[in-house]
This record gives sequence, C-alpha cells and structure tokens, in this order.
Amino acid sequence: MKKSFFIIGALAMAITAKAQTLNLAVGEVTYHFPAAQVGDMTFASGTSLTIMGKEFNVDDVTRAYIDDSEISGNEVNVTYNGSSATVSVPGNVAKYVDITVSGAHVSIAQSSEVDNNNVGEITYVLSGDTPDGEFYLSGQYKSTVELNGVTIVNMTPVFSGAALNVQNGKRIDVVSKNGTVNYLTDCADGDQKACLVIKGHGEFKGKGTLNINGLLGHGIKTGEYMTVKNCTINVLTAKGDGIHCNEYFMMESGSVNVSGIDDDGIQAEIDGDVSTGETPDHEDEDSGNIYINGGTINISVTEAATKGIKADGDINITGGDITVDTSGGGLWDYPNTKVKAPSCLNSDGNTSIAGGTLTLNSSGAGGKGMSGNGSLTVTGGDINITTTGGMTVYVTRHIYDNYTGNTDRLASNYKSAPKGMKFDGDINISGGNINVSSAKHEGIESKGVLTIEGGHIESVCSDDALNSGSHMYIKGGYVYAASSNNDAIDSNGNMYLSGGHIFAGGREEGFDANSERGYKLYVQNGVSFIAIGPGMGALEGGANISQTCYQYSPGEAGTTYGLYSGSNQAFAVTLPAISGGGPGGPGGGGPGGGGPGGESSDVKIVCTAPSTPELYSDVTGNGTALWSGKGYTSFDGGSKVTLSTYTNEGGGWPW
Amino acid sequence: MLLTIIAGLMPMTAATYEYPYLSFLTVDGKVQSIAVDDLTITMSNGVLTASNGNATKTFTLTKLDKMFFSESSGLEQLAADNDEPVEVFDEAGISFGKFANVTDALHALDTGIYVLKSRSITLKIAVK
Repeated sequence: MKKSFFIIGALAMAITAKAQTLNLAVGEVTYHFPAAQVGDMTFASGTSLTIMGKEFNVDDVTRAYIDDSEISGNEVNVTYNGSSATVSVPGNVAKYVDITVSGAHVSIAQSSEVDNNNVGEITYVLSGDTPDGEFYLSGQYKSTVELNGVTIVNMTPVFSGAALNVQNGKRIDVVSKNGTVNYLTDCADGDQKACLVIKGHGEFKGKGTLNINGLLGHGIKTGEYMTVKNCTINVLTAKGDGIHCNEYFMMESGSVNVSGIDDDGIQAEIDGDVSTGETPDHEDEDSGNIYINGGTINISVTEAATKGIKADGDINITGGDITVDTSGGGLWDYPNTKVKAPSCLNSDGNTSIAGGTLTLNSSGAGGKGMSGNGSLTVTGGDINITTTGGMTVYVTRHIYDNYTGNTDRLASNYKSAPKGMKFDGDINISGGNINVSSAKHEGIESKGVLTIEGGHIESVCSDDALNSGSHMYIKGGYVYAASSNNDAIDSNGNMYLSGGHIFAGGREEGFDANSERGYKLYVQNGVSFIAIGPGMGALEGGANISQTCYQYSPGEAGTTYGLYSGSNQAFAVTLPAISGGGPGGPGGGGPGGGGPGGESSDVKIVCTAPSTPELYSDVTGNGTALWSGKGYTSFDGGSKVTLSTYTNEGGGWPW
Repeated sequence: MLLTIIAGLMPMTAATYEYPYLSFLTVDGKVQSIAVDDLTITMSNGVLTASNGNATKTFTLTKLDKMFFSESSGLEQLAADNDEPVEVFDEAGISFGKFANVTDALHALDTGIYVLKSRSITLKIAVK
C-alpha cells in the first residue's frame, strides 16, 4: 500500500509553532481570525468573502494581512483616539457583532443569537480618550464592559447622548479595570436619562475608578438592579440623581462618592406596580430596597427636599462607612399637597441597621437625619446624627424656611421639622450606638411605638429627645435624653420603664406620659434612672410606680452624680444645665411665659434602681464612658447625698 | 509511495508557523499556495493580490472558490535531498531506531506521527 507523508512542521531545537492570525480591516474595524480556527474562507460571486460565518463585502475590506498576533476570543477592544476610534474584533465573535463607527462614536449591536450554546458572554474593552464620542451597545445576552483607562465626553450625540449606553436587558458587568481611572461625561443636550445608562442589571466591579459627569439627567441609571463591589464610583455632577436604579441597590464593598448633583444621591425605585419585597438571593426581586453591607459612601445633596439615600422600599444596612450631608430646605409638593424636606436617609418602607458607621448631617430647614414611612430597627452599628436647620412651612402659598412662628395649629402636611430620626412606624432599638443632636427640634420620634431594649442612645435636642406617638417601652440599654425646651422623654401613650439605665433631663419634664389624655407613666422593677424636670417635674404626674423612687435637691448642673443599685453601681452622669419653665396654660395658644421652675442648679433629682438606691454627688467616672463622656458605667469617690422618698402627685394639664 | 517532505534542509532557526502557507482554490479545481511570512492581501477592482515580498499571486475574484491555511505548499512534491543518518522518535520522545537516511526511515514507518532528527534538520511528519 502506498504511504503518504505530510510534514507537520520543521522543528527547531525548541519546538515552537507560532500562532497565525488573518487580520481583515473594514474601515476602523479590524477582525482577527486565528489560522487554526478559520477553516475554509469562501468567496461568492467575486463580491463577498465569508470567514467563520462573518460575511464581508470585498469592496469594504481596506486591508488584510497575516501576522503572529495572539488573539483572545470573546474580547472586543474599542480604542478611542481623539476624534476617531478603532475596534478590534476576535474572529470567534465576528459574526455576532454588527459594528458602526462614526468618528469616535461607536455602536455595537450584539446578535440575539448569542447565548451559552455558542460564543457565550462577550467582553467589550474600552480604552483611550475622546472629546466627542460614545459607546452604545445593544443585545439580549449578558455582557461585560471593561473600562481600561478610558475618557469619553459626548458632545454631539450620534447613537445617544450618553457616554456609555447599554441597551441590553440582561446582566451587564461594568468593570473598572484595576488601577485605572475612567471618565465619562454625557451631552448636555439629548434625550438620554443618564451619563451611563444600562437597560438591564448593572454590576459594577473592578478595583479601578469611574468618574461620572451627568450633564442632562442622572449620573448612572440602571433599568434593573445595581450592585457595587470593590470599585470606586465618583459622581461629580448630575442634573438628576447621582445613582438611580430600579428593583434594588446593593453595595458590598468599594466606594461611592456623590456630590455636585441636583437631586437625590442614591435612589432605588420599584420597577413594576407591586413590590416583591426582599426575595431569596434577591432572585427576581423588585422591591425598591437598598442594601449596604460594606464599603464607603459619601454623599452630599444640596437642593431642596433632596435625599441622600432614598428607597421606594426598605433600607437595610449591615456594614460600611456612610456619610451623608444635606443642606437644602423645603419645597411645596403641589400634586401631593404636602411639604417635602431633605433627609439623609429616607425609606418608603422599613429601615434596619445592624452594623456600619453612619454620620448624617442635615443643615437645611426641615432637614432630617433619618426618616421613613415604615419602621426603624437598630440592632447594631454606630449612628451619629446632627440636624441644625429650623422648621419649614407652607403658608399663604409660600415656603418659609427656618420659620420661627407657632406651628401648633398648622396641619402636618404643611410643615416639616428638622428631627434627628422620624419614622411613621414603630422604632425598636436593641443594640448599637446612637448619638442624635437636633438643635431646633426632636431627636428620635416614632409615630407608633418606641421600644428600647439595648444599645447606647444619646439624644440632645431643643424639643423632645425621645418621642412616641403611641406607647413607649424602655427595657434595657443606656439612654441619655436631654431637652433644652421640652420633655426629655415623651410618649403620647403609656410609658413603661422596666429596665435599662436612663438619664432624662427636660426643661419641662424628664418623663412625660400624656396623662392629659388618660395615659400613664409606669415605673416598674428593673429600671435605673436619674431624672430632672425643672419646669414640671422629673416624672409625669399620676404615675404608676411599682419600684420606689427617691428624690434629692438641689441638683447642680455640672455635678456628676453616681447611682448605686444596692451595692452595685448603676451609672454616673453629669447633670446638664437646663433652665426651668413650663408651657403656657390651656387657652394660651402659644408659648407661655413659663410656669414655676428654675435652673437645674436647684432642681429636684428623682432616681430609682432595682435595689435600694444610693446617690453620690461629685463622683469621678471611670469604667466605660457613656454618651460622649456625659456618663460612665462606674465611678468612684464623691459624697453620699440624703435621699427622701419621692411622692408623685397630680397629673397633666386637664383638657 | 508518495513522499512529501519540505524541500531543503531548513536551518535550525527557520520560521515555525503552524500553517506556513495560505492556499487558494479556484473554481477550476486548481490550488496555488503562498508562504504566509509578511503576507498582505488586497482586493480591488475584482482582483485579489497576495504578496509576501518574495512572491506575488493574483486571482480574479470571480474565479476564486475559497482560501485556507495549509501545512504544506499543496500538491507540489518536494525532492528529498538528504543522505544523512536519521533517528526516528515518536511524539513521546521514545526512539524507534536509527536509519541510513530519511528515505529508509519513511519506508519503515507505520501510520502515525513521528519526529525525524538528523544532524541538520528535525522534522515532524505524519504518515498516513
């Protein structure tokens, strides 16, 4: 039998067969076909050439050459160079992408045939600089856009006004390549919703930096959920929100910085008509929720009624370092007939905080630290809130910021107060460290039930430091509540004190439990407190006292008093300076001249503890500092004062 | 016996492309090949021109059926001009033995892939 022989290759001492690539240029697009993959390249009628399924008009081919370049499959490279761009396409995806290049404006239509049975996910790598360009990608299968040190400014829209626009409803990874800095700026004219638009879900990754300038709408908008991991996103300007997404927003790590914007910092909306709520593994979730589990967030919003972080659904925070500043005032929401005001965090649903560090500052009128239509649950984390603005009201068809007139008779939808925390639902605190300072209003308010079971809470305000629309339960924790112009702790229902270590010092009362409407203060076994109320007494009249209370006067501002519960130390606290004076009487209609009372230099201290209490003055705190150093878990020294049994009399003003 | 060996003793530092040639099949069934080193192709005015600096081939586009990368220069028979002793190895590097020259070695080999090594050349061949 005849044998036939084929030379496979002439081998040098080191056997190295070089890769070969057929490069076919069509204008600014070059296709790279590995020799080992092309097989037969067929001609038809002298007008077309088909390579790996991609048909070329031979007249469009500007150059063809063979070299030994190595080509990575599934990676399309777009290189911007001033007023032009070049595109490099590996042969295995050539037939799946239809590319149009106009100057530095590049549009790629990814075939609907792409799926995991053929080429799979394609990565589009963008690099270079252009002062007038864009990247527009359409498709129906998940894709990756990798930013490799690219700067794109879109001055004159060709495919859209966005700098980066992905009209693909699937999962889109936006990867800022490690160590790179990328800039995207959209056009000031056009119809784009944002500088960076993703129709589907946007997952932002990579340890690079992405800088965004949104000159027409939002900085970043995703039509479905958005996640952030590792990368740094800086929204430097936006005419709308810094980041606006549908379904939900989740941050695992990385850094998000938003400033120079005209609307909210981060907003998550429900896409459909009805919320799914949180789903297992967030599968098919459309909740409008915001999840922050790590990373760093810095947001500054300045316009009226804007929110730093706003959720159509819930806000869930388990980690991260979050700083939000708001400085805008109020505005009149005509369609909804209500005053709207800024808030650092705002949720239409519930808010839960289990970890992380939150620093929230609102300086504008009506500006709040945290607000929500639902409930607040705090089980951990460090929360520091400062509000310094005044009231914002809508009267005589005008918005008045920092209004100082009497607003008692103004309906709630015509005003907004600069509270530290304000939730329409219940508030439940069982852990964490909370520090609230409200210069011109209340510190922590629930329109429902307020329950404290643990944690360290400090609230120093001009109005009520703690307020509940319904009942209040303090069962544990360390609570410091001080009000310079109202009650320290005020419930509009019953107030149950059954545990915890509490200092309550209010210009009117220490503990106010709405006896005017038949509710009561219940002092139950287990609580330790020191309370003062220069205006109307430390405790609400008509209280139900199960655990004997004691009194001492004169209490002196600036003196540190230590409370023993039997032989155990409960806590020590330095008495703040709170002037006395009660409200005007019934029918007064406005702030009264103040009832009998006086400086806390001569007020009556009321205290109690689970075991027979002893009170020492001029102690020196040691152990763990409480409430920014206003108290301590233990103390030494001092002089024992003489306590007498406290008798609770009367009730509130009769209505 | 059809013996197909690349002509000449290629130097130890010769180009080692996996596919050294680009072959063109015209509609009349003929194949022409050109080495791919520095190869450029232009298509203009109905003519395809392939040139590598050493050789140029032109084709009327309407007469072209297809082109493809190839391991040899097609059906051109290459003369063997080598009387040096050669040792034959399989792909695993196991020696099959030594032969007086390439021709004797090839006659002795069964179907398979082999490496032929002489003083001046090393070849990898397929015997079918």
